[in-house]
Amino acid sequence: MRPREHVLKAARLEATLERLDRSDDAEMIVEVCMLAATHLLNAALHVRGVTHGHSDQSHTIRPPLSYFQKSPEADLKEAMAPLASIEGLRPKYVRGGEVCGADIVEKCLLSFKDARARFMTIIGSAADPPAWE
Amino acid sequence: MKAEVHILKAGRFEATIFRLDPEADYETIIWASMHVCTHWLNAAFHAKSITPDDLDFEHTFYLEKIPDQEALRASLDDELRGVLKALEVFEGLRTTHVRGPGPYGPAICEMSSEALERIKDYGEKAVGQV
Repeated sequence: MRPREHVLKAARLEATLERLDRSDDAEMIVEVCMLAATHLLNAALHVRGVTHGHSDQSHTIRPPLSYFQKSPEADLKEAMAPLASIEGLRPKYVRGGEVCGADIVEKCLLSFKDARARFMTIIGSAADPPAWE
Repeated sequence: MKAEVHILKAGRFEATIFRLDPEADYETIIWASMHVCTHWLNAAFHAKSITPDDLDFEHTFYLEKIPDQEALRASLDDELRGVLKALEVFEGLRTTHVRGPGPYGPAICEMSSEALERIKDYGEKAVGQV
């Protein structure tokens, strides 16, 4: 997918996020934050030339970024950290049986906000519609 | 994880699905449906002693890593084969429509509803009434 397609998909997921209840839909909030941020990660990776449109990450480490010839710059690596922390919630609270409480949801949403801001700074005008739209 | 906890988590994801809009939120519905199915299947596998409580699989492509492959093969009747194929529906849809830009439509909605009901029926039968 192209950067703009990733950004548009992330926007759709964020719109869903607004409709989720922090208590009743806690697990899904973690998942949607992960999915939306991963789309933005992929857009950022494509913009920086680490990966290209035909090669998207499903997670920060899958596939390992060491597979690619170009390494992410420091700011992109830093942007991945809050996404990695969201990914870290999944084994326990989404696939696992732990209760996904309000503190976990709050932590997740703050991480998403952080990741989003950092990725969008990197993506920049690549998210803009093309001239012919 | 114990079967009853899987069922609890599946129920929470299913309740989320019912609150969402099938067009505006289809990505989340597909993703949540996959979790409903995976939790139910793990519950069923524990109930049928195919896997122990402390071994959960995340996706069908991890089934090859289940240590007791004999137990898995012994349980692979037509019903379970159909159910695992139904889980593959969601695993495929998440690639094309959640991570990818796949266009959504009524056919996708119908296909995923059928798959979810099939897996849930299988799970409920396997674990009995909870």
